[in-house]
Order: sequence, then structure tokens, then C-alpha cells
Amino acid sequence: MRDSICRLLLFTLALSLYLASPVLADEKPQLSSMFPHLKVINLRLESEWSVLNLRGKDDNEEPFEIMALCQKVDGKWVVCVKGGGVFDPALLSDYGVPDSTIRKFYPSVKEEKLQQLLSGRGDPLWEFTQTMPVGAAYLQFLTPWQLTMMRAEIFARHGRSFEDPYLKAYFSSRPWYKADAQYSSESLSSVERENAKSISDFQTANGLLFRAVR
Amino acid sequence: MAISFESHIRHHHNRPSIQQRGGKQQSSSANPINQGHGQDLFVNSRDSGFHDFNAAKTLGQRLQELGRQQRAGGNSAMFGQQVGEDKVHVRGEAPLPTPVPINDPAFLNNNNREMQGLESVILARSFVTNPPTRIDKLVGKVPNLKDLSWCKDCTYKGSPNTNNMCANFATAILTTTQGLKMQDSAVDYISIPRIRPALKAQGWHSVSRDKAMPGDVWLSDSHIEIISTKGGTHSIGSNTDPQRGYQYVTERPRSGGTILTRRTIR
Repeated sequence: MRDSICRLLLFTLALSLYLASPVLADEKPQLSSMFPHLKVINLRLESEWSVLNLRGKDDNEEPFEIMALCQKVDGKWVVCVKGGGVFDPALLSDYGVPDSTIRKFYPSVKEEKLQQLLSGRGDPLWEFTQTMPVGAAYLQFLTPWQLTMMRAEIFARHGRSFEDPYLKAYFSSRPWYKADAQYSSESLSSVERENAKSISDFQTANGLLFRAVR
Repeated sequence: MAISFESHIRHHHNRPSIQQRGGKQQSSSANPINQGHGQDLFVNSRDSGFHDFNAAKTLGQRLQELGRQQRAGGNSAMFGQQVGEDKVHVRGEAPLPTPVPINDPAFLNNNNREMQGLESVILARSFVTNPPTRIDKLVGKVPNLKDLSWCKDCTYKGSPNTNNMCANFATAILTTTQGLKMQDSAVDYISIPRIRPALKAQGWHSVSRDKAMPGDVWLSDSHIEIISTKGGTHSIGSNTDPQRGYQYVTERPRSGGTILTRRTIR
């Protein structure tokens, strides 16, 4: 009996806190609406970043769970990356989440482990685009954010500077990025040029543009 | 050589699964490959039930050796003499083997990769038990399976070891048997967004279902498994049990998704 009362009190307290939190109450519907066929089973929010756990059923009615990382850009939530498995701190870091925010998302991870994960990162996300052609078979799984950043990364690896404040901020925070005043598109290999075009064509054909690479 | 693989695969597939035969999990040995299945399974370990595979591997190595000799201008007549078209058939004599395209590096490459693919299935299947084993119980038993218990905040249930291990399991199998490499020591392929570019970077490419072979990878936005049959009809992976809400290693029929291979498709 006492247990039941305690549980009821705790539930009421949690509900009150949730309702009293205008940020979460405001943001959750917006974030949920980006995944119309999935159920949000957990949502964490820190400044302009959110990590979600989502549940759904595939074509064979088999249940699955995925995670998603979203960012509020220019007042609108965008899905940076989504997929099955575990989104660890290093993944979030690679997608541009600041270390201070990562610490808030993973409060139980020991500082030593966090340091180890965050110090080990640092390579471009899609380095293979230097040498391997990408086609629709690969691109179809990527979010508009990933497609845009993948294309921008091809240029960024050669030191291109960006006018777009979002791209500028993202690449400036990458450990491998070094802006080169002498940048020329001539430095791109034929595979890279072809990949940049393939990505752009794919985005245009499918309406998957996050922002212009400029 | 190709016949050897085919027969190996047939042999493997004709055997009923442990569930079909009502197999019972027996005590496991110190060898992680032996964990989770009984003595009557097709492949129990590299030492007991794996002789065919080892023989095939030896033959593959011998073929590579011959290929090197031939490319170096060595004894190129060796195969011509053995499988020459002008050899006269005698009634009752066994048919001649199909000539092996020994000059084709893609053939030798594929031979090796097909065998490694089989090894992936054998290893993955050795963890398919009846009743199925919860994935977190296999940490320390599946080679290269990461213990993610440090990341209690990674999933809502407080332990990614119990319900988000599909990429971790597939990565462990591929790392152990097919040489999948980690980008660096701190980055584990424990999510689909991590493993997809890693596979692409290491030469895995999509293939139609009819060309799928054991050891290829089945991939979707949310899930990854190891293809266990020719034609991609079944796969082995860490799957969520909807009733219990946790992941177990199971072998199931498979459709949809994308199939990736590292073999050269001709």
C-alpha cells in the first residue's frame, strides 16, 4: 500500500515536472512529427541538440528500435543522423555535438572513458569518397543533413572555406579541417568531382537538400 | 574448387537447424567459438567438425600459389595438363573438373572471400541456440563483441547490451572472420551509421539477392545481419524479441533491405 502511494506520488511529481518544462513540452511534438511512423520512447534535449530512441515495425511486422540525433537549425529541427544500434559519445562528436553537450547526454559515463572516446575521433565522416564512387544504393539511406555535409566534406578536405555560417562553424570544429586560402577545385580528383555531382543530383532528384554548399 | 564450395554450402544448409532438431544447449568450452551449442551441431569447432573447411582453405592457398607461379611465368602447363580439353574420356572415368580461371585475380580473391563468408556463418550460427541466448550474455564469448555496459545513457533502458547490439554483433563476426577493420581504436562500429560507411570504405558493395552468398551482409536503416544462405533467404543476427523487449541471437528468414558483399560479382 505504502509502495503504491509512493509510486503514485513519484509519477505525479514526474508529470508535473514534465508539464512545467515548457521547453520539452514544446519541442517534443515537433521532434515526434519528424518520425511519423515511429514511436518516440525516449527523448533527451540539451540546448539545440536532441537524442531520441524510436520504435517501429518493419514491412514484416518485426519490431525495431533506432536512435536519432537532431539539431535545431535556424529555429527548425533537422535530423542529422538516424539508424539502428548505439549512438556513443564519439558518434555524436563526429556529427558536431560539442563536448560540453555530450557530457550532459551521457552523465553516467566516466570522464576517463569520455576522454578516451573523444580524443580518438577526428577523421572525416566519409573519407572513402576520395577513392570510391557513391551511387543511389548508398545515398538512399542518408538524411538531407548527411547528404549536404558529405558533399561539403569533399571540398572541405581540400581546404575550401565556406560562406554559409552553419557549414563554416561545423567544419571549423572538425579536428582535421584546415581552411586553405589557395583552395582550388582543381585539387579534387575525378572520383571526388564525380561523387560531388552524384550527391548533388541525388539531392535535387529527391528533394533532399539541407542547405546549399556555399 | 568451386564445386568444393558448393558442396560445403549444400552440406551446411541441408542440415536441420538446432531448433528444427530440438537441439539442446550443452556445456560450453573455453573456446569462444564453441560457446552456446552442442556436440551434434554441424560445425562445433575448428578442431572437430571443421575439416572440410580447412581442406578447402588449403586448396585455396595452393591455387593462389599456382596463380603466382603462373603469373611469374612458371609452370603454366600444370593446369593445362590436368584439365586439358584434349584429354580423351574413357567410359566409367570420372568427368573432368571444370577448368579453374587461375589467371583471374578476381577468382582467387573471391575464393578466399567465399570461404571467409562461410566462416562468418559458422561462427555466427554457433551462437544460435534453443532457447535463443540473450545477446548481453554473449559478451566475452563472441570474439570482438564490445561490452557496452559503460554506456548506460546510450539507450533508454539503461543498458545497450540488451537491446541495441545488432551492429555490435555483426561487426564482431565480420571483424573476426572477414577482416573488417576499425577506423581507429576509439571508434567502434556499434551503430548502423558507423558500420555502413566502414563497409563501403572497405570495398563492400550492393548485390542482388539471387547473387547473395553466406557471409554477405543484410542491411537496412535500422538493422544489420549476416546472410546465412545462398540466395539470401536467411540471416543471423541480434534480433529484438517483441515479447521480452531484448535482443537474442537468432537465424530467421530474410527479405527486403540491401545486401552487401565484398566478393567481385562477374
